[in-house]
Amino acid sequence: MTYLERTYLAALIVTIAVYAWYFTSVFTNLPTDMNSTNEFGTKLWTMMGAYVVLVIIISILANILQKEPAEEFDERDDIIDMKAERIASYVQAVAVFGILVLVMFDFSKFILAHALLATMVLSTIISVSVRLYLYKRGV
Amino acid sequence: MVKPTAITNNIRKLRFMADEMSQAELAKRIGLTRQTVIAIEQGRYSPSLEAAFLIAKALGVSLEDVFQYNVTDKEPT
Repeated sequence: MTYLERTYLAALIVTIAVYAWYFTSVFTNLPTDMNSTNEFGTKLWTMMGAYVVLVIIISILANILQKEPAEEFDERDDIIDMKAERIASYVQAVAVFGILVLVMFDFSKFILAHALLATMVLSTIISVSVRLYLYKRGV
Repeated sequence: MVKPTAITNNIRKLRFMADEMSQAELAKRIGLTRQTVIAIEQGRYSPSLEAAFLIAKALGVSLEDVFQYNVTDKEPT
């Protein structure tokens, strides 16, 4: 497994772990007022901040632990990037349409915020998974 | 698991004939990563036309000596 693949795999594991923990803790302890952003906003922003910090730490660690100098991106990486982002964008488009339906049916701010967050998480997971798959299978 | 491509190549053999040029050396000469050279050699990636010409030039042979296209049922009409 190459350095790039290891980095993507680590990012995938962190993404799944952090958001699985967050969604489990939030949905097992629902706020009393689902439309008050004060109740769930702080936890949401804290978790997103923690996630960004974790990803930065992983990138720094990956660079420190790497034995060989990092290779530049080339045409193959660009093609894999484009394919992964295209598939992730399909997921985002479908999810945004679903969120619009939720808005029309007057769902609470809590549900809408978490539906948006779930969309971002899902598209990130799919994008990274597709990259890992294409690096293994070939383009 | 590996997606087969219609393009085959002799890079491994030609590298050997070119003073046992390493994958890293070839990658450096053509401006691609070693991982991409490995993927091309294993038939997991078909390079761009420019990269294909650069590989042939680096190995000192013609494009047809490096790459072969093995599709017979897609002849132009």
